[in-house]
Amino acid sequence: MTEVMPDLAIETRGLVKRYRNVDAVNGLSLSVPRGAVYALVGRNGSGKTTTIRMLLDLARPDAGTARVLGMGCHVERVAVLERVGYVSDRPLLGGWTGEQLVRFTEGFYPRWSDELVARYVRDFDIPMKQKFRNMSRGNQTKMWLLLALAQQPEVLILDEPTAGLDPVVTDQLLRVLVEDVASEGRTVFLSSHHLAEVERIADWVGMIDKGRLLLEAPMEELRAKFRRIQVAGVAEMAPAAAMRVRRSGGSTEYVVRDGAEEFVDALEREGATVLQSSPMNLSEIFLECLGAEGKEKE
Amino acid sequence: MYFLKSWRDARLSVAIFAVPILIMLYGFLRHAPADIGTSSHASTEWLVTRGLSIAGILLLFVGWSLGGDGIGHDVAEDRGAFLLTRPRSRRFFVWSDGGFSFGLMAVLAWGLTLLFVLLALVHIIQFPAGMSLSPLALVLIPLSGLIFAGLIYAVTYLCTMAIPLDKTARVVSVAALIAYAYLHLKAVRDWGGVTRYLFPSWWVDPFPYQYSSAVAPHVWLELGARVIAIVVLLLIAQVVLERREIRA
Repeated sequence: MTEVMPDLAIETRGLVKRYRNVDAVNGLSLSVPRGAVYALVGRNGSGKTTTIRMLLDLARPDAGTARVLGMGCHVERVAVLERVGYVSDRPLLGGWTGEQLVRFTEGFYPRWSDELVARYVRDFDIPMKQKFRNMSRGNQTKMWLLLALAQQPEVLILDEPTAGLDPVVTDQLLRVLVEDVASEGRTVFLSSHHLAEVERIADWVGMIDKGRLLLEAPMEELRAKFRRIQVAGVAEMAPAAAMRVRRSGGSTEYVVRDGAEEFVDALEREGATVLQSSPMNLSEIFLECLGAEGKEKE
Repeated sequence: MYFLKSWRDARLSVAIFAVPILIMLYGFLRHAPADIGTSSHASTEWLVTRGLSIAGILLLFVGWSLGGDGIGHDVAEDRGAFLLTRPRSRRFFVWSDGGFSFGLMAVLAWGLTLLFVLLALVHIIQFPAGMSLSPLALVLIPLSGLIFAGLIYAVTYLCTMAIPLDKTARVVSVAALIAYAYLHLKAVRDWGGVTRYLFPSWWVDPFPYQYSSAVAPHVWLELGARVIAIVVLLLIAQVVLERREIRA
């Protein structure tokens, strides 16, 4: 039996979800520390939403375990959902106004805060007398977020929260996540393929592709360890530590995942002239990890 | 909170189906035989048969409409990700839907029967001295209507839970209700023997002899069996919902 680690807000072990012959999630093991802003990034169809559905007990895993705040997502679903807020791009109750949705939702949560409702209605400028189905996409997302924040969740799960939003609303949403949620020690778990936005706010990243976890690490560690190293001339060597080697024109470029300094030392010992060792942004790291995508970029 | 949603979903259906009922009541009052008050037999017959048929028609449609407006309908309309991530067990939604719907149907069943009786007493029927309607009629007529509507509700509710496409589910539920009614008629009229017990009717007529004092044999058993059928259908709906995958 898997040992429950109390310092983890979300933990999955060997999670599997199959649809007919397709493995939507294939042995996924995530460890989301409490208080983290954790971004699960991946391409469309990589298994992000399916993972979230299993965390919220909207889908049942075929194998493996999923726990939120130490509780089984299926067995203790009510206790989990009492402490988890959820933001999606799915419809709320279309014919209801914002005010009616607030009245409907507050009855489910003992820790519901009317003060937070008033505050976010003001900050987000949500037209509360408008029916949900008539709201703009941005206001619909804000409405979801308002309902999730007012319940004061310990874990906030957001599925592609910025998809289809304009830059102003995106910025507003990301600021709330960092300033109001994460700053209070609550955990934010979001899925996204907008890597620039993720890089702004996440302090942990999990990369997923074809239902498998490619990488999971703190953002700082990724920035520190992933390096693009450029060497003068067309070097013939291809050390094993290099994730990728690209030779073009008069230079050779290596991408290393760890141990960049030792790698540079090794190159220099071989007589190579190292021109540059630069950090990589999340988008570059993501493409390198995906491999296939990275090759397409070459 | 959830009942508030149930009421919002149901009120339009109730209003839509209340209009024809009011028209029927008006027609009844307008065209009732002038000599109805002269015979206690005729009076009772009017009360029992017309009351039953009017209440039954209303409740049939309300039961079907409420059955199609439950959580299965919300899941089909993509609202499941919101509703089913509220901190409640899935059976909560099934039995809250059921509780609300049966409450509403009970109010309609008793309300309509009482309204019918009051209208009849005030406007049409002058009971001969010493004659009265059995109080049991005021229990059994609406109860029978409620259980009839409950069966319609439970079949429709299960269909919307098991079939992901909302309109398809409603059509299938109508087809299932009609097909079963046809089976029942075939069993009673053509097949005979034990088959009539295998295919009991949707509807239990508590006063088949027209007199409100002459109750149908085994009426409580008949009604009880149908209540069990309703509970079983809703339990199956609960199991279906608990196993159902929700889009997010």
